[in-house]
This record gives sequence, structure tokens and C-alpha cells, in this order.
Amino acid sequence: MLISLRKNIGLYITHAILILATLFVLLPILWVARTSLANRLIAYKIPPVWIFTPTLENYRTIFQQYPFQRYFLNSLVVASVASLIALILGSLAAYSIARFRTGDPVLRLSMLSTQMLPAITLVIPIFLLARLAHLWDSPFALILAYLSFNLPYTIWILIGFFQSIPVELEEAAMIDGCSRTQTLWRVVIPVVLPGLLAAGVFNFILNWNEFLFALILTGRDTRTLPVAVAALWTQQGVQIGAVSASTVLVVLPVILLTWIIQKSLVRNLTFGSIK
Amino acid sequence: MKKRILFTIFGILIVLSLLLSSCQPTTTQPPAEEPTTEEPVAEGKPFEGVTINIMMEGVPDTEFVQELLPQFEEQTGMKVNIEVLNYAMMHEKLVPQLTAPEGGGSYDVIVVDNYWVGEFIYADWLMELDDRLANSETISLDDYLPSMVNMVGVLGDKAYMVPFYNYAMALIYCNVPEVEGKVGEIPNSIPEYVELIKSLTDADAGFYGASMMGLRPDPITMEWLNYLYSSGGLIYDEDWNVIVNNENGVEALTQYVDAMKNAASSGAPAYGFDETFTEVAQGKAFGFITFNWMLPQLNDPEMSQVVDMCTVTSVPGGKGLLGGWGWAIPKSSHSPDAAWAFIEWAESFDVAKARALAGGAPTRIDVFEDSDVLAAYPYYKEVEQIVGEAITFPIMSRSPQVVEVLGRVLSEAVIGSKSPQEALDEAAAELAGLVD
Amino acid sequence: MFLISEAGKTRLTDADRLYEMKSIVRKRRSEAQHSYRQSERRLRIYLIVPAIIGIWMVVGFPLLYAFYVSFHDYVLSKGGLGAVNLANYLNIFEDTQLLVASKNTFILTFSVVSLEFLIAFGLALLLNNKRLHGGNIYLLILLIPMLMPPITVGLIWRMLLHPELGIINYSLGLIHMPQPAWLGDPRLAMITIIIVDIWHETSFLLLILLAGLTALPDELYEAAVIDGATSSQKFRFLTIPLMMPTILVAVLIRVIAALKTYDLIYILTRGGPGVSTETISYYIYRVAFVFLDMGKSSALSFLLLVLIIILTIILMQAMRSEDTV
Repeated sequence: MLISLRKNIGLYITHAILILATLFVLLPILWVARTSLANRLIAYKIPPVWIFTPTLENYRTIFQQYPFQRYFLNSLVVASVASLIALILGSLAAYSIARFRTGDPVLRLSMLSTQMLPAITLVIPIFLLARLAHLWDSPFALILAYLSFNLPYTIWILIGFFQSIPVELEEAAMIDGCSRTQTLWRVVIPVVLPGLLAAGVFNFILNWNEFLFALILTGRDTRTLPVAVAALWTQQGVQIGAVSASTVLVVLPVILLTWIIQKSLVRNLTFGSIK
Repeated sequence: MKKRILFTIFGILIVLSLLLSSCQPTTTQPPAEEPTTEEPVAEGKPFEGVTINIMMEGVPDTEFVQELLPQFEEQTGMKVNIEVLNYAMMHEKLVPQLTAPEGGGSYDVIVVDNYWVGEFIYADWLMELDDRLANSETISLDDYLPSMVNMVGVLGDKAYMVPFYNYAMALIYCNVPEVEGKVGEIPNSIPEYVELIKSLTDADAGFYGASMMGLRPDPITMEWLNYLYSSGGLIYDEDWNVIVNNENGVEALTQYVDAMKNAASSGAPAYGFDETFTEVAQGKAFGFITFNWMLPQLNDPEMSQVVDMCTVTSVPGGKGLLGGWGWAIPKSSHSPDAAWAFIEWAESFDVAKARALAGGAPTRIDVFEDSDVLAAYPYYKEVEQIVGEAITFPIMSRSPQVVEVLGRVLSEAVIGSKSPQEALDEAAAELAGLVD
Repeated sequence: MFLISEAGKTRLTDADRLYEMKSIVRKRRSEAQHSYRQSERRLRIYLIVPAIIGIWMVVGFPLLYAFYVSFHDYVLSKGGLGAVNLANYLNIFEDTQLLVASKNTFILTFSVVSLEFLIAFGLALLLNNKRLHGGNIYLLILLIPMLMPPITVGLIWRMLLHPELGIINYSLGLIHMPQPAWLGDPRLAMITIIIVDIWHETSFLLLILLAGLTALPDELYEAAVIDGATSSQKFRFLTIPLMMPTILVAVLIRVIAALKTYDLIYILTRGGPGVSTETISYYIYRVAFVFLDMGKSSALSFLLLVLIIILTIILMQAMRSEDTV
């Protein structure tokens, strides 16, 4: 009785902390959602006007004047294709490094070194390459660039996850008659699925938010969202309503992504259930 | 259960990669770059099938060009792709493109800010336009205000650009209720102006005499140069000696710091153009030094609550900063002839007038003085004078670096980590090394 | 008397338990590292080659090119590659601006990484509680900032932080708190950037750490519970060591990203007021894209690279030794 009360107090404190953290994140976003429905006069009015006739003008701007639906699709395609390929190549390499310590740590470090150099230094040679390969203004240049930039991160994240799988698990499977590939596919991958998803989502987000390469390697029709948002920042001022509307648009896939993450983070995916 | 999740995810991603392949037809370049060599099609459509790419900045005039564009595409058969970008990103995007070899870039027409003129021309990235101008029926540089031509037209004795629009800076002030009865004549010198805006400031009530922008590097530099020029100072003299730290310069900076501390919001050291506009539009400040064409926006009830209260006039002291953009054809252009045809159209009197009537920022004298334009915007009389008398930022290959240096030391003076004299001495030492 | 013996007993079993759990963890790790060592040499190569190609295919040439350029005079607006010299590297040490930038970069990186890690790890532990209802909703909201490009984050926070017209200062005024100038105050500008960065980037760490916690094998915890371990013992002797590889990677990624921060600075302060938010990456950005001095910017970049590699090795060593106490 006493114990359950104590445990519940812990739970209340947990909720309280989480609510505080959530509010810190949520309040600015709610304000942005409000701004997306206001004109510039109301957006900046202090004291704030709480009741006003909402306008869809900002959404009209981003869907008609600037085709954000196209940029959204560009971003989605580039980010997901690059992260999918990175996930496949990365998980193989990470397994190799985690299990066999292939080339550790020199190979590991040298992979990461591509990430350590500021992208600004690499942008001009990469532009030259893209032009030589006739890949400028096409999603492929971006996909290749993102793949090679974010693969090291993917590998590093996954190494950690592969290392935390007890090796007996694989041994047991092999004693049961699985081949190495079967072990990898049937035993290791399911256990490491949360890690794969985290790495995939992480990679997706890096691609989704990347600005500099997207600016240099895309043209008018292949723009990605960050570049499109930047275009709303004009010499006459920031079109804050349109920026807010685009933010609301961007937040929607988060809900989908989080759904995927949560589905995969369910606890019965741990190895206890596989035995 | 586990498998199903995996399959769902892979399914989603596969669909996405299919989407990618279905995207290709629209995203690859239309195969229309080469036909420039084709025989012109007879019935008045000389550029049938030609596509040109243009990079422009997001300003009112760009929008008006885009609106008028179908008319040009109809006339010539040309397809014009205009890519609109924000100012700061343009330079990053243009530079790699311009370093491409002749005919190897992606843009056929670009617009060039006056800061970049020296850099682009000394780097030999722009085509000379003298011959084309000589043969043109619609454009002559004589039609333009000389101040514009000297800035974004010719350099030395060669023409590289055609002026597109101006962004001469001016004082815009609004007779909001807070200042009623407190403002007589707008003063004609910087010290008097600073006195006035200080007297109008009531920080406790959240009202300021001026909305000022201290953001590095261009906002603060651009704003302060109005103080400098109107105080009789210059960055370099005629022989490229640095004189920014002479007594006029120090006086201008002392006044500027005083205004920033006592007549503007405490947040002003981080304000850019957007914040100052918003503050004035919300009626929280008497006025600001900004682009002359900001006035129509202050009269837009969707953005502003000081509609019909504001006036544009020259910077107190009379000499403001002149800025402007010019059309240019990069050497890396695929289709220079089509590019020139586009510039000729965009700068023809009729199109320039239509742009001005829509609220653009003219550069042609005949447009400034056109009776329809003046009827719609009576204050263009004043603007023509402001543009004519304003002083240009020095044109040199390292202009952007000059802006950076000035921006840094000015910001240090504003927050008090350096005195005006120290700040300008430091700048002078660095600026001397940047001369070509 | 009774109390003392009770406490003594606890301490004894505590030590026992500590030893026991550590040996479990150590055993699993060393087994993971040593088995299969001799077999299937080829497999490990096949597995890794595609990734190596994927990485170097695009980055290889630019990296070498930048390295080559760093030893030359090369200002884009002055035409082609100039003379070979070491000036790009030697001049760096006379650059006073770089000194300020380095100091600011250190402050920024140290603050954001440590604060974000603590917040994210704390939240991940709370969210990993099986008895917590509604955890999904918290997670959903906490992850939202992740998908916002830095440019959006910057523009939005400029609006929120507007000293006169922003909702934050208005709200502070309602509860009679001071209304700071935020980005306009040289003493507060860096702190403001740190707050915005925490708002934006903590979700990345939360995602990785939570995934790491979820992937921990339940079996070990069940065994520990049977042995009578307390929650804090489980945390100290199971969670921390098992999470160490994930923590290492998460912190490392954040350190690298924080050292390279330039977009947030670009949108929020441009290094000002004064030089209070000047950072190395923003400085490199200006040398490359405003001054077009590719030689110098490449040299600066490679110095930053060396710095990051050294930091990485130190971090790896520190975590390794922690891990095998």
C-alpha cells in the first residue's frame, strides 16, 4: 500500500517534468500555428489580439505563389531515398565493425572525418563534380551527397546498437542451425530494429534539414523545403505568416514518423520474446 | 507482428522511391538549351523553343516582372524560368555558378547588387554590353539617372549592366498619436535629427524616436553610412585613402551610438530590416531610415496600423546611401542573345512604367517623370531627387569585405566595447589593405 | 546496534552485487569482441566495402581538392589557383578574430552538448518507464522541433524574442519579470542562442538515447531484480555501461554538429552584437563565401578537422575507460 503510493508519487513527478518539457516545446509551436492564420499586422500586435478572423492567405501563398507541395515532395523523396540507402549500407558496415572490429578505430574515425570538415569548404568542389556529371538541378546529386555525408553517422549509431546485442544470442541461433545470413536477418535485425529506426529517422532528419548543399545543387523546380523557406525571407521583410504556415506543414510528417518510431519501440521486440 | 512493421516501413520507402522516378520528367532540365543556333522562326517569334534561366532577388520589382512575363513569352516564344532567392543566399549560389567556364553555367541573366559589382567585374564574370547597347532600340543608358548608371551600369569606360531598380535609403516617419504636436520641421542635419528622436522617445511606454538596426554586417553598415555621408564623411577619398576615421566619421559614429542608446529599443543592436519595419508598422516608433520603397507597405492595412500617416523624405543632412541592382549577362550564360532580348524587354519604357505603376522602384528618368506615375505616386518627385543625390558604396573587388569590417566595428561601438575613435581606427587599418 | 549492522550488511551485498553485475557486463562485451574472430574474414570485408564506396564516392575528391587548395593562394574573384605557400596556415595564428571565435565556439559547444545531453537522457529515462501512461503523446510533442530546418527555427525565434513585439517579453511583462533585450544584449546573446539550440536539437539526442534504452535486453534487468538490486544500482551498473556505446555516439555527433554551428548564428545574430557570438564555423563561412578566399577557408577547415579528431579520440578514450572500470 505504502509502496504503491510511493511509486505513484514517482509517477506524478515524472508526469510533471514531462509536462514542463512538453510545454517548453509546444508553446512556441502553438504561437506559430496562430501566426500562420494571421496577417502581419495581427502577428506582431502587442498586447496580442486573441480573437481575430483567421485568414488562409498564408497557406494560399505557400501553395499557390510558391509551390510548397512540390518542395515538400522533393524533400521527402531526397531525404527518404538517401536515408534508406544509407541504412542498408550502414547496417552491413556497422555489423562488420561491431562484430569483427574491422579496421577499428582508424577506419571508423576516417569515415567520420568526412563529417568533421565544414560543408562550406566542400561545397564548391561538389558543385564542380555535379556539373561535370550533369547532375545539377536534379535530385540525384543531392541524394548522393546526403548519402555520402550521413552514412558515417548511420554507421556510428548502429555500431552502438549492434554492440549491445549479446553474442550468445547469435551463437544460440547458429547452434539451432541458422546460417550466418539467416542469423543476421532473423535474429540480429529484429533485435536491433529500434536502432535501425532511430538511425534511419536521424538520417532522414539530417537530410530533411540540410540547407547548404540543397541551395547550391538545386534549381527552381528541385528545391527542397529549407531553401524554399529561405526564399520567404525577402528584402521587404520576413513573410512570417507564410513561414509559420510552412512550419505547420512540416510538423505533420513528424506525427507520421513518431507513429513509426512508437510502433517499433514496443518492448516485446527485445530478445526475450525471440528465445 | 515484427515482420509487418518492417514491411510497412519498407513499403512506404519503396513507394517513395517510385515517386522519385516518377518525378524525373518534371525535374530534369527541359531539353531546350541548345536551339539558340536554330534559324529564327519567321512570324515574330525569334526565340521559339529557347529557355533561359534567371536568378532574381525577392523584391517588389521581381514580382512585377514575373506578373508581366507571360506577355513576353507570348511575343517571343521564349520560356523564361525565374528563380527567386533571398539576398544573402544569392551570393552563395551565384559564385559557384559564375566560376563555371563560358557557356557552362545555369543562369543566363542575373541581377547584380552594387556590393558585388567590383567583385564580379574584376573576376571577369560578366559580359560587356557596349555593343548590344549601341544596337539597341529600346534601351540607352542615357535614359537612366546618372547616379544609377555609375553604380550598376558602367565601370571605367565599359558597360556591364543595365540598372534594374534602386534602393536608395531615405527617412520614413509617421505622425502617430504619440508624437502629435511634438514634431515641427524635420531637421536638416544629423545632430538635430538625433536630438529630435531622443526627445520623442519614451522607453517606459515602449515608444521610440527611431527604430534602428544594429545587426551585422549590412543592416548596421547601411544605416550608419547615411549618418556618415550626411555628416560630410566618406569611407575612402577620391584617391582611395581611408578617411572613415577622420573627425566627420567619428562625429557620425558618436551621433549614431547616441541615437542607438537613447532613441531606440534596447533590442536594436540585433534588429535587421524586418524588425525595424515591424516596429514602425505597429506604431511603436516615429520613423526609420530604410529603403524608399517601403512606404507602400506601411500603407497596407494588412501589415500596418499607421496607414496614411507616413511620409518619405531624404535622410537629414541630405546625403543618403544609394543602393541598386543591375541586370547582367554572365559569361557562363548559354544563350546570351535570348538573355539580352529579355533585358531589353524588361527595361523597355512600357514595362518599366508598368512596374513603377505597380509600386516598383524606378531607375529610368522618363519613368520617374511620367505623368501617370507621378499621379499614382506623387512622392516619386522626392524619390527621384533622393536617388539622384545619394552616394554609392565604394565599388571595389572587396566591397563585401568592407561591409564585414565596418559591420563588426560599428557593432562594437554600439555595445560600448570600443569608443567611436577606436572602432574607426581599427576599421581604417583593415580597410586600407582592401583597396584594389 | 541493529541499525548499524543492517547498514553494514547492505554495504557488503552492495559490493557483491556490483562485482557480479560488472562481471556480467564485461563477460558479454569481451565475448562479443572475441568470438568469430578467426572465421569469415571475407564476410566482414564484403559487408563494409559498399559503405566505404558510398562514403568516398562523393566526398573523396572534394576532400582532397580542399586539402590541395589549402596550400595555395586561391581567391575565387581573382582568377585561378595562385602560388603554393603555407601562408594560409601560418597566418591563422596571428588572427585575433579567430581567438575570440574559438572562445565562443568552445562556450557554445560545451554548453549545448552538456545541457542537451542531460535533458535528453533524463527525459529518455522518464519516457522509458513501462508504467507511464501517455508517454507516446509526450514523445510526439518533444520530437516536433526535429523536423524544422534551422532557418525556420531561427526566423520563428526572432519573432518570439522581439524585445518590443514578441510574445515572450510580453508574457514576462505580465508577471512583472524583467524584459531582456535577448539577442540585442551582448551579455545575453550567446545564452539566447544556447536556449534556441536546446529547443531545437535536444530531440535528436532524445530519439537516439530512447532507442538505445529500449533496445537494452530485459533479461539482464530481470536477473538483477531477482538478485535484489535497487533501481539506482541497476542504473549505475547496468544501464550506464550498456548504454555507453550509444551515449558515445550521440554525444560525439552533437559535439561535431555544435562545433559546426553556423546557420543559427547566421539567422539570429551574424556574430554580433560586437563579437559576442562570433564562432569558428561562421568565421569560416565568411572567409569562404563573403571574402571568396578558398585557400584560407580550406586551411581553417582542416585545422578544425584536426581539432575535432583530437576531441573525438579523447572522448572515445574517456568513455572506453569508464566502460571497463
